[in-house]
Amino acid sequence: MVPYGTQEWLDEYKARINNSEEYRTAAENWEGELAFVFEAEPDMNWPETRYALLDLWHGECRRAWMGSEQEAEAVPFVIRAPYSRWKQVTRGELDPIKGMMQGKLRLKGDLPTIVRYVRASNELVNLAKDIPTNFPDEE
Amino acid sequence: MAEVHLEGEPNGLASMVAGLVEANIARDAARARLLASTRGAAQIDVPDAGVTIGLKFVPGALTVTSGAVPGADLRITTDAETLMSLSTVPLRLGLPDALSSEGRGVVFKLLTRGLKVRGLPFGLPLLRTVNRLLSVN
Repeated sequence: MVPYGTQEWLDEYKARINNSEEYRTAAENWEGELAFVFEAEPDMNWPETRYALLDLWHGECRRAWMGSEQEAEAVPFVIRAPYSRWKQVTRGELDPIKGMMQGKLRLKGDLPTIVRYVRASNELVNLAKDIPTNFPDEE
Repeated sequence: MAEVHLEGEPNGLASMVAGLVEANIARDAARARLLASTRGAAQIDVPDAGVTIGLKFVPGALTVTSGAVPGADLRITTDAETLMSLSTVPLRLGLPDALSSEGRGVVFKLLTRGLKVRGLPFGLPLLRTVNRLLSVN
C-alpha cells in the first residue's frame, strides 16, 4: 500500500501513466503542467494543503512531484478540492466530470483545452484508482 | 464588445460554460459577433450531475446562471459525459456533423433519448449559437 499524497504515491502514479496506452492516445497532443491541490482537512488527518504537480507532454508524464503553493499557482492548469473529495475521486466514488460540474472540483486554466482533453483526464483518474492506496484518515 | 457574466452563486457547470464562452469569443471574432446579435434564453439540465444552468442572451452579452430559466426558448437535457462530448463534436452549420463518427454519436443519443432538445424548430437558431459558442473546435 502506498501512502496517499506523497512522493512515493506520485512515483507510482507516474509509472502507471507512462505504461498506459489509453492515456498516451487520449493525450497525444497535450502539452503542459497540471497541478492537483489537495486542500487541508485537519479532522481527516490531512492537516496541511498539499500540491501534486505533473509535467505532461504528448501522452507522457515527464515528471511528477510534490511541490509548493507557488509552483502550483504558476502552472497553466490547476484542479483544487478538499482532501476528502480527492479521496472520493481516487476511489472512483466521484466522477471527475460530474464533480467539476457540481463545483466539487474547481478548475483553473484554459477551459477549451481542458474540455478538449476530458478523455485524457478521465484516463488519469482511472489510473489513480488502480493504485493500492493507504489514506491517512484510515490509518 | 461581447461580454460574459456569471449571475449569483454559480455552480461548477455555470463557471465552466462562462469560462469556455469567454475563451472562445476572445480568440474567435466570428463567435464574438455571433454573441453580439443573439437574443433569447436556453436552459441546460444535467440530471446525472444534479445540475441546471441558464444562458440568457441579449445582444452583446451572455449571462450564465445556476438553476432553471423560466420560459427558456430552448431546453437541452443530457448526461454529463454527453454534454462534454457536445463541445468536441465537429459542427456543420452549427449542428453536429453527421458525416463524422462523433456527430453520428450525437444523432444516436438524440434518437435514443439520451439527449433531449426541446424548443425546436423555433429554437434552432439559438441551438446553433449555443453549439458554436461552446465548441472547442
